[in-house]
Amino acid sequence: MNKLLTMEDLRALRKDALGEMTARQTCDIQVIVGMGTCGIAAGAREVVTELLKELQRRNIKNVSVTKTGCIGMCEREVLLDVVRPNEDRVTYGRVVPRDVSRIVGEHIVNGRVVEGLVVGRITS
Amino acid sequence: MQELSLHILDLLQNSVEAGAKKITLVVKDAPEEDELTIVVTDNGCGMTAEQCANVTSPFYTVRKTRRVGLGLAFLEMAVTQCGGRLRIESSPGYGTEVVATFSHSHPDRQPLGDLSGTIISALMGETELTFEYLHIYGNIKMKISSLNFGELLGIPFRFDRPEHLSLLEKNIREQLQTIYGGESS
Repeated sequence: MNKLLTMEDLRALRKDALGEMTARQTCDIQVIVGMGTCGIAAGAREVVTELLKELQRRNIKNVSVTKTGCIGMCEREVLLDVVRPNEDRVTYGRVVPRDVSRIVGEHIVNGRVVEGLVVGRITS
Repeated sequence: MQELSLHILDLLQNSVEAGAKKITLVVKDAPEEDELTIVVTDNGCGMTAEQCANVTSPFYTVRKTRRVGLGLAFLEMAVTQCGGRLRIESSPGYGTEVVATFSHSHPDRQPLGDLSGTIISALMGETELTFEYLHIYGNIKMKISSLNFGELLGIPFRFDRPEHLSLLEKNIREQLQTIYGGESS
Protein backbone atom coordinates (compact mmCIF):
# COMPACT_ATOMS: atom_id res chain seq x y z
CA MET A 1 0.00 0.00 0.00
CA ASN A 2 1.39 3.35 -0.93
CA LYS A 3 -0.97 6.07 0.21
CA LEU A 4 1.56 8.68 -0.80
CA LEU A 5 0.16 8.50 -4.31
CA THR A 6 -3.03 10.19 -3.27
CA MET A 7 -4.33 11.34 -6.64
CA GLU A 8 -7.26 8.98 -6.22
CA ASP A 9 -7.87 10.26 -2.71
CA LEU A 10 -7.87 13.79 -4.03
CA ARG A 11 -10.29 12.98 -6.83
CA ALA A 12 -12.64 11.47 -4.26
CA LEU A 13 -12.28 14.63 -2.19
CA ARG A 14 -13.02 16.68 -5.27
CA LYS A 15 -16.42 15.08 -5.64
CA ASP A 16 -17.35 15.97 -2.06
CA ALA A 17 -15.82 19.39 -2.36
CA LEU A 18 -17.56 20.49 -5.53
CA GLY A 19 -20.99 20.03 -3.99
CA GLU A 20 -20.02 22.05 -0.96
CA MET A 21 -18.32 24.79 -2.88
CA THR A 22 -21.05 25.53 -5.36
CA ALA A 23 -23.38 26.23 -2.43
CA ARG A 24 -21.14 29.03 -1.25
CA GLN A 25 -21.55 32.45 -2.80
CA THR A 26 -20.64 35.33 -0.51
CA CYS A 27 -18.63 35.83 2.67
CA ASP A 28 -20.50 38.49 4.59
CA ILE A 29 -19.05 37.72 8.03
CA GLN A 30 -15.34 38.07 8.70
CA VAL A 31 -13.35 36.39 11.46
CA ILE A 32 -9.79 37.61 12.05
CA VAL A 33 -7.31 35.80 14.30
CA GLY A 34 -4.09 37.33 15.69
CA MET A 35 -1.19 35.27 14.38
CA GLY A 36 1.96 37.10 15.44
CA THR A 37 4.59 35.27 17.49
CA CYS A 38 2.60 36.20 20.61
CA GLY A 39 -0.61 34.75 19.19
CA ILE A 40 1.14 31.60 18.04
CA ALA A 41 2.75 31.07 21.45
CA ALA A 42 -0.64 31.61 23.15
CA GLY A 43 -2.32 28.94 20.99
CA ALA A 44 -3.70 30.71 17.90
CA ARG A 45 -3.18 27.63 15.75
CA GLU A 46 -5.40 25.50 17.97
CA VAL A 47 -8.08 28.21 17.96
CA VAL A 48 -7.97 28.44 14.16
CA THR A 49 -8.20 24.69 13.59
CA GLU A 50 -11.11 24.49 16.05
CA LEU A 51 -12.80 27.42 14.30
CA LEU A 52 -12.52 25.76 10.88
CA LYS A 53 -13.87 22.50 12.32
CA GLU A 54 -16.78 24.29 13.98
CA LEU A 55 -17.69 26.09 10.73
CA GLN A 56 -17.61 22.74 8.93
CA ARG A 57 -19.68 21.04 11.62
CA ARG A 58 -22.37 23.69 11.40
CA ASN A 59 -22.08 23.87 7.61
CA ILE A 60 -21.61 27.64 7.74
CA LYS A 61 -20.66 29.00 4.33
CA ASN A 62 -20.78 32.78 4.60
CA VAL A 63 -17.76 33.30 6.85
CA SER A 64 -14.24 34.16 5.73
CA VAL A 65 -11.41 33.46 8.14
CA THR A 66 -8.30 35.61 7.91
CA LYS A 67 -5.43 36.50 10.21
CA THR A 68 -3.44 39.47 11.30
CA GLY A 69 -0.04 39.98 12.92
CA CYS A 70 0.79 41.38 16.34
CA ILE A 71 -1.40 44.36 17.17
CA GLY A 72 0.36 45.13 20.46
CA MET A 73 -2.05 43.45 22.90
CA CYS A 74 0.21 40.42 23.29
CA GLU A 75 -0.89 39.73 26.87
CA ARG A 76 -4.46 39.23 25.69
CA GLU A 77 -3.73 36.81 22.87
CA VAL A 78 -5.29 34.74 21.40
CA LEU A 79 -7.27 37.64 19.91
CA LEU A 80 -10.20 36.87 17.66
CA ASP A 81 -12.29 39.53 15.92
CA VAL A 82 -15.77 39.03 14.54
CA VAL A 83 -17.06 41.50 11.98
CA ARG A 84 -20.72 41.19 11.00
CA PRO A 85 -22.03 43.53 8.29
CA ASN A 86 -23.23 46.89 9.65
CA GLU A 87 -22.37 45.92 13.23
CA ASP A 88 -19.49 46.81 15.58
CA ARG A 89 -16.21 44.99 15.13
CA VAL A 90 -15.87 42.94 18.31
CA THR A 91 -12.48 41.76 19.61
CA TYR A 92 -12.43 38.72 21.88
CA GLY A 93 -9.35 38.14 24.04
CA ARG A 94 -7.62 35.18 25.69
CA VAL A 95 -9.65 32.91 23.46
CA VAL A 96 -9.09 29.17 23.92
CA PRO A 97 -10.40 26.40 21.64
CA ARG A 98 -13.34 25.63 23.94
CA ASP A 99 -14.61 29.24 23.54
CA VAL A 100 -14.86 28.82 19.78
CA SER A 101 -18.17 26.95 19.62
CA ARG A 102 -19.77 29.61 21.83
CA ILE A 103 -18.47 32.48 19.69
CA VAL A 104 -19.63 30.72 16.52
CA GLY A 105 -23.02 29.70 17.91
CA GLU A 106 -23.83 32.94 19.69
CA HIS A 107 -22.17 35.70 17.73
CA ILE A 108 -21.58 34.44 14.20
CA VAL A 109 -24.86 32.55 13.84
CA ASN A 110 -27.21 34.50 16.11
CA GLY A 111 -25.60 37.94 16.32
CA ARG A 112 -25.39 37.93 20.14
CA VAL A 113 -22.00 39.14 21.39
CA VAL A 114 -20.34 36.86 23.99
CA GLU A 115 -19.80 39.70 26.48
CA GLY A 116 -17.60 37.84 28.95
CA LEU A 117 -14.80 37.43 26.41
CA VAL A 118 -14.88 40.91 24.82
CA VAL A 119 -11.71 43.03 25.16
CA GLY A 120 -12.44 45.66 22.55
CA ARG A 121 -15.03 47.04 20.19
CA ILE A 122 -14.79 49.29 17.16
CA THR A 123 -17.99 51.06 16.20
CA SER A 124 -19.01 50.41 12.62
CA MET B 1 7.11 27.40 21.54
CA GLN B 2 6.63 23.72 22.31
CA GLU B 3 6.88 22.29 18.81
CA LEU B 4 8.97 22.88 15.71
CA SER B 5 5.76 23.33 13.74
CA LEU B 6 5.00 26.47 15.77
CA HIS B 7 8.32 27.90 14.60
CA ILE B 8 7.31 26.95 11.05
CA LEU B 9 4.03 28.79 11.59
CA ASP B 10 5.99 31.85 12.63
CA LEU B 11 8.27 31.64 9.59
CA LEU B 12 5.33 31.22 7.22
CA GLN B 13 3.60 34.18 8.86
CA ASN B 14 6.77 36.26 8.35
CA SER B 15 6.72 35.33 4.66
CA VAL B 16 3.07 36.28 4.34
CA GLU B 17 3.71 39.62 6.05
CA ALA B 18 6.63 40.20 3.70
CA GLY B 19 4.09 40.13 0.87
CA ALA B 20 5.24 36.82 -0.60
CA LYS B 21 3.25 35.43 -3.53
CA LYS B 22 5.09 32.14 -3.48
CA ILE B 23 6.18 30.25 -0.37
CA THR B 24 7.99 26.94 -0.29
CA LEU B 25 8.33 24.80 2.82
CA VAL B 26 10.71 21.87 2.94
CA VAL B 27 10.90 19.58 5.95
CA LYS B 28 13.66 17.01 5.72
CA ASP B 29 13.42 14.48 8.50
CA ALA B 30 16.54 12.33 8.27
CA PRO B 31 17.05 10.26 11.44
CA GLU B 32 19.75 8.19 9.75
CA GLU B 33 21.83 11.32 9.15
CA ASP B 34 20.81 12.58 12.61
CA GLU B 35 19.40 15.76 11.08
CA LEU B 36 16.07 17.47 10.83
CA THR B 37 16.04 20.44 8.48
CA ILE B 38 13.35 23.03 7.93
CA VAL B 39 13.60 25.39 4.97
CA VAL B 40 11.18 28.23 4.26
CA THR B 41 11.73 30.17 1.04
CA ASP B 42 9.65 33.10 -0.12
CA ASN B 43 9.61 35.79 -2.78
CA GLY B 44 8.55 38.53 -0.38
CA CYS B 45 10.13 41.94 0.10
CA GLY B 46 13.36 40.53 1.57
CA MET B 47 15.68 42.18 4.08
CA THR B 48 18.73 44.39 3.91
CA ALA B 49 22.08 43.05 5.15
CA GLU B 50 21.61 45.08 8.34
CA GLN B 51 18.14 43.68 9.01
CA CYS B 52 19.38 40.18 8.25
CA ALA B 53 22.25 40.54 10.73
CA ASN B 54 19.94 41.73 13.51
CA VAL B 55 16.88 39.66 12.87
CA THR B 56 17.54 37.05 15.56
CA SER B 57 17.90 39.72 18.26
CA PRO B 58 14.78 39.79 20.45
CA PHE B 59 15.02 43.58 20.64
CA TYR B 60 15.07 44.11 16.91
CA THR B 61 11.90 44.63 14.93
CA VAL B 62 10.83 46.83 12.05
CA ARG B 63 7.28 47.09 13.29
CA LYS B 64 5.96 49.95 15.32
CA THR B 65 3.41 48.20 17.52
CA ARG B 66 6.00 47.12 20.07
CA ARG B 67 9.76 47.13 20.54
CA VAL B 68 10.44 43.42 20.57
CA GLY B 69 10.44 40.81 17.80
CA LEU B 70 10.70 37.33 19.23
CA GLY B 71 9.95 34.95 16.36
CA LEU B 72 13.42 34.33 14.96
CA ALA B 73 14.98 34.76 18.41
CA PHE B 74 12.90 31.81 19.60
CA LEU B 75 13.87 29.79 16.55
CA GLU B 76 17.57 30.50 17.10
CA MET B 77 17.18 29.39 20.71
CA ALA B 78 15.46 26.16 19.69
CA VAL B 79 18.21 25.48 17.14
CA THR B 80 21.17 26.22 19.40
CA GLN B 81 19.79 24.29 22.39
CA CYS B 82 20.14 21.10 20.38
CA GLY B 83 23.40 21.82 18.60
CA GLY B 84 21.89 22.86 15.28
CA ARG B 85 22.42 25.79 12.94
CA LEU B 86 20.32 28.61 11.57
CA ARG B 87 21.06 30.30 8.26
CA ILE B 88 19.11 33.26 6.95
CA GLU B 89 19.72 34.60 3.47
CA SER B 90 17.82 37.52 2.09
CA SER B 91 17.93 40.02 -0.67
CA PRO B 92 15.74 43.12 -0.77
CA GLY B 93 13.16 42.82 -3.52
CA TYR B 94 13.81 39.12 -4.15
CA GLY B 95 12.91 37.25 -0.99
CA THR B 96 14.22 35.33 1.97
CA GLU B 97 15.35 31.82 2.75
CA VAL B 98 15.54 30.50 6.30
CA VAL B 99 17.27 27.17 6.90
CA ALA B 100 17.10 25.66 10.39
CA THR B 101 18.96 22.41 10.98
CA PHE B 102 18.45 20.44 14.18
CA SER B 103 20.27 17.48 15.63
CA HIS B 104 17.60 14.80 15.24
CA SER B 105 18.51 12.69 18.25
CA HIS B 106 19.25 15.53 20.67
CA PRO B 107 17.03 15.23 23.78
CA ASP B 108 16.21 18.95 23.62
CA ARG B 109 15.11 18.83 20.00
CA GLN B 110 11.43 19.71 19.99
CA PRO B 111 8.98 17.38 18.21
CA LEU B 112 7.68 18.43 14.81
CA GLY B 113 4.09 18.62 16.08
CA ASP B 114 0.94 19.44 14.12
CA LEU B 115 2.17 20.33 10.63
CA SER B 116 -1.20 20.17 8.86
CA GLY B 117 -2.83 22.55 11.36
CA THR B 118 0.22 24.80 11.11
CA ILE B 119 0.09 25.10 7.34
CA ILE B 120 -3.58 25.96 7.09
CA SER B 121 -3.38 28.40 10.02
CA ALA B 122 -0.44 30.21 8.47
CA LEU B 123 -1.84 30.51 4.99
CA MET B 124 -5.55 31.03 5.56
CA GLY B 125 -7.04 34.17 4.13
CA GLU B 126 -4.34 34.67 1.51
CA THR B 127 -5.89 35.34 -1.87
CA GLU B 128 -2.91 35.38 -4.22
CA LEU B 129 -0.53 32.82 -2.90
CA THR B 130 1.12 29.73 -4.28
CA PHE B 131 2.35 27.31 -1.67
CA GLU B 132 4.54 24.26 -2.08
CA TYR B 133 5.34 21.80 0.62
CA LEU B 134 7.89 19.04 0.34
CA HIS B 135 8.25 16.60 3.22
CA ILE B 136 11.07 14.10 3.12
CA TYR B 137 11.28 11.30 5.65
CA GLY B 138 14.23 8.97 5.07
CA ASN B 139 13.80 8.14 1.39
CA ILE B 140 10.06 8.81 1.23
CA LYS B 141 8.97 12.10 -0.34
CA MET B 142 5.64 13.84 -0.15
CA LYS B 143 4.90 16.92 -2.23
CA ILE B 144 1.81 19.08 -2.01
CA SER B 145 1.28 22.21 -4.05
CA SER B 146 -1.70 24.54 -3.85
CA LEU B 147 -1.74 24.70 -7.68
CA ASN B 148 -1.94 20.91 -8.10
CA PHE B 149 -4.46 20.64 -5.31
CA GLY B 150 -6.65 23.20 -7.08
CA GLU B 151 -6.37 21.33 -10.39
CA LEU B 152 -7.46 18.12 -8.74
CA LEU B 153 -10.37 19.86 -7.05
CA GLY B 154 -11.34 21.21 -10.45
CA ILE B 155 -11.48 24.82 -9.26
CA PRO B 156 -8.75 27.24 -8.11
CA PHE B 157 -7.63 26.44 -4.58
CA ARG B 158 -8.36 29.35 -2.26
CA PHE B 159 -6.75 29.90 1.11
CA ASP B 160 -9.64 32.15 2.14
CA ARG B 161 -12.24 29.37 1.92
CA PRO B 162 -12.59 27.38 5.14
CA GLU B 163 -13.82 24.29 3.26
CA HIS B 164 -10.77 24.32 0.93
CA LEU B 165 -8.50 24.65 3.96
CA SER B 166 -10.19 21.74 5.72
CA LEU B 167 -9.62 19.54 2.66
CA LEU B 168 -5.97 20.55 2.47
CA GLU B 169 -5.51 19.98 6.20
CA LYS B 170 -7.07 16.51 5.97
CA ASN B 171 -4.95 15.62 2.98
CA ILE B 172 -1.67 16.71 4.59
CA ARG B 173 -2.56 14.99 7.87
CA GLU B 174 -3.41 11.70 6.16
CA GLN B 175 -0.31 11.74 3.97
CA LEU B 176 1.93 12.42 6.96
CA GLN B 177 0.26 9.62 8.93
CA THR B 178 0.97 7.32 6.01
CA ILE B 179 4.64 8.17 5.70
CA TYR B 180 5.22 7.94 9.42
CA GLY B 181 3.10 4.79 9.76
CA GLY B 182 1.53 6.12 12.96
CA GLU B 183 4.84 7.05 14.60
CA SER B 184 5.36 10.57 15.85
CA SER B 185 8.43 12.44 14.64
